[in-house]
Amino acid sequence: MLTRLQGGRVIDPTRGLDGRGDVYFDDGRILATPSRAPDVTIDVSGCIVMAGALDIHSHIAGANVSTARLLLPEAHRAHMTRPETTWLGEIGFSAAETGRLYAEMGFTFVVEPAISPQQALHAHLELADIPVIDKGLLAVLGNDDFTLGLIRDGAGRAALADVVGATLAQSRALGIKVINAGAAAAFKYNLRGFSLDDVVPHYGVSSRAILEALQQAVLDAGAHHPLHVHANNLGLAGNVETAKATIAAARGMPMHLAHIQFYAYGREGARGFSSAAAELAEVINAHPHVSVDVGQVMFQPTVTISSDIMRQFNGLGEARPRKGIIQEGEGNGGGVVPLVYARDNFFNALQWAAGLELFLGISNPAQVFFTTDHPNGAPFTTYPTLMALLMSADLRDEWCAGLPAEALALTHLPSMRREYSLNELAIMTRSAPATLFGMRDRGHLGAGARADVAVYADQNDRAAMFAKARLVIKNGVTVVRDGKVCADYFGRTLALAARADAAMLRRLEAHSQTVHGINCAGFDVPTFAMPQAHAFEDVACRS
Amino acid sequence: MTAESGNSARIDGQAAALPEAMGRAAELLASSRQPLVTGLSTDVAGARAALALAAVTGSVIDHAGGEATMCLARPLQDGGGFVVTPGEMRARADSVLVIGPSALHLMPGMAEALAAAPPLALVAGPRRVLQINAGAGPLAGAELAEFPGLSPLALVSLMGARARGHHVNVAATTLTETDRVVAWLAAAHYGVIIFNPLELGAPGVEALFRLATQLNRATRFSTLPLVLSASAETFKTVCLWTTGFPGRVNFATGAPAYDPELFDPKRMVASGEADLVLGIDSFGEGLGVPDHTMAQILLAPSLSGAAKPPDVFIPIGEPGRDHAGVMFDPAIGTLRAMPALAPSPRPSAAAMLETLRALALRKGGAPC
Ligand SMILES: [Zn+2]
Repeated sequence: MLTRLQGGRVIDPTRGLDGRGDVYFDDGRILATPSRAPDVTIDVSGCIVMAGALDIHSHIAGANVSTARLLLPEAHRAHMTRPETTWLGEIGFSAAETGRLYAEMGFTFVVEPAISPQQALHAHLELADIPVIDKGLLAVLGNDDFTLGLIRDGAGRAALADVVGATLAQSRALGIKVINAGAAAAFKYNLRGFSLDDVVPHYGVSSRAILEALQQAVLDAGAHHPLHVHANNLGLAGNVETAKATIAAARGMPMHLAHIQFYAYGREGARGFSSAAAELAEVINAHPHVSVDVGQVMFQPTVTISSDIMRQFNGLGEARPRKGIIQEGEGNGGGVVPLVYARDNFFNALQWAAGLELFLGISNPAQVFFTTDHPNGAPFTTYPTLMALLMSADLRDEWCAGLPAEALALTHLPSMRREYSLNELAIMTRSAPATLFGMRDRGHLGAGARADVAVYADQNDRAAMFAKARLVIKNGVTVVRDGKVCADYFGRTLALAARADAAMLRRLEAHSQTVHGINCAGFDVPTFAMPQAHAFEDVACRS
Repeated sequence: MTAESGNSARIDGQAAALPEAMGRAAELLASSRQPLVTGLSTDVAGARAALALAAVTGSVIDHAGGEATMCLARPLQDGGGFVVTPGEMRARADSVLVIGPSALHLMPGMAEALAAAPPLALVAGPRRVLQINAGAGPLAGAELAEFPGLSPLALVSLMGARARGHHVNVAATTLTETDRVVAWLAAAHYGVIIFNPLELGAPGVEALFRLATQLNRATRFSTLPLVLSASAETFKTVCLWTTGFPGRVNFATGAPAYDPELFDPKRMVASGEADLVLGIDSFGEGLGVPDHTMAQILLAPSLSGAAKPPDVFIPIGEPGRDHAGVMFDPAIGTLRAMPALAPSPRPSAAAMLETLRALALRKGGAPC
């Protein structure tokens, strides 16, 4: 059925378009202006039309997310006689609610960024139950005995590429993430801190060596997305030096640095904690091969879900409520620690400001991605408010007026007057993430693109505008109308069609049996295990 | 009863065609004021379908083994804790403390695994294993410590108090033995405590997590809770991503509500708050509820073993045998896919529950 979205303001940075026009689609694909009359015309005049949005880093599924659910029943709306609105109640925190809430904001694709290869099946079953949107996941390597052993033994570039290929294939992942490289293993040997040039006991391998080996291996294995790096020393004063050193360690090759707001701290001021975001933004501007996502903090209670188990253990003392779960596993494991980010807290206010400084200080919107590191900095449901903050210096001033002056004095935020345009937001949430994951048919509205479209009623209140899309089309199907999901629709999980080398699979199996006493075929994700016949969509490797 | 008749659907004990039995089950669900869905000895697909059915019928739902799940979940919800996968325990733990007699006997292959040296330990050498209150189940080669007359809660609390350096008022022999165990724990590089949540009870598990917290100040420790039922762990996993809660959920008000006391299936049946039991029992684990006279629908591979003949019996297959499925595997500490070893036309629990859900929706069986 040929459908026309007529008369909207079409913003499509991939084609350099921002103006009134029509968008046509048929059979799940966008068409160039067709020769025949459309079967259906939907009037979207007064609306903004963009491709569906993409979120490259949001912890929405898997064992660690489930552990967070387990830890915090009191935060759900429906727990006993709790008030109508609780902080987890607002995000639902179930697979069904995750898909609904993302879709209603106009998102059509989300990447879960931290899944242990051993727990891929669990994660995929959970992703399959997230409705409407398409999904993908990153598999975590770099703290597991097999990878560390290969690096220690100097196994070489080809062997590491084979491990990455086998992991991508077995986990049905889109890419590879390394989380505080070596630290989770070092923590098992009772180290409590870990920096880029620290060495994992028993292996004699430095964090830097792990990073470099995996960065190359991910490129060699043909993944589109470069190594996704969660660096050392998250959250610590003075860790901007770690971020800068990690960017230098990329050696001019592609690398993605996750939630860099948590690494934008200096040591100035009376408390020895200041924003170094401006300095970090300049370094990022000077290294175009590096991409980053922000991990913006917003003021509300949340729960941190992280496979940086050393950091999570060290953060237990800051838990609010005072509890956390530290779950160790074959590689990274995971830690779940609830936190409250408060407006009147010096550190939290500074973190909030540092995140915005990064958004505003990084010149190229295709280099910086839109995340709150859901739910670590804030739940993804705060995105519309964050978009409004990026688009209005006046709104930021209003927020700043309510924050501790001591914190703001240690940032450059009050003097930053840049305001994001809708086009820049579309780059950051549409065209650039599609490019980062090598997806040619997403993130734009050109002919041949998947018919994933978000239509927003143009209004001055940008937060309200982005919170509830007027219309969302997923694969040509109308899934959201007037801000509410209106279709029983399930997207797919995208998986890289990576090559699993048979000899490497045999080595992995032998290692798993010898070291862990486990038949690692148990970690397979066979199609028959999935609730839908077409749960997966293959993505070809980089050629 | 012949094997054949044991495998056909039944209404009030009489063989019936499947559509009639399903229709009768749907009627019972529609007329129930408070259905209870339990047993749940099934796979991921069965658990998903049971939760979906519970949601449209306003049921209370929990696994027959929910008590063990709660003994672990509630201490985690109250104070947090430390856990490790079995595979990593085998690889790294130089010291393993086993509490009670049952843990190793209930965990296949674990005794053999503990006898082997940990390949990734900081200091190479054999694994130290200490078993407390082994009773009739001592592990070959393990050091033993006995605390006669002390409850597991008292014992773990005592160890925690001594680990924190507190003075305690107990018999001299008990104190000496406690301090010996605490010193043994402190000498670990990476220690793991294996325990049975049901034996310790929720307060004992909470005390154990506090002990682990204390031990982690100076060295590394985690715990490995025994999984008493793979299907219970499967249900917990699915229930968490579906509702946000680990079980003991009520859908009567529309949104899932969690209450570990109120929605205990045993209590719901004993108090008569439920008036219909829908049981799913693929692996013969039982329904875990007291004898009752209320209406009952049973989905199981065969009728034999059912204490009271159910009002409706629906035969189903066994996941991993009759049909493929996904179950929690205690040996790997996560979900594992299982192909069908002996494929048969017997329907899955999921297929039957989905049909019941469709019938319930058609009858307008949504909660009032
Ligand atoms: Zn993250």
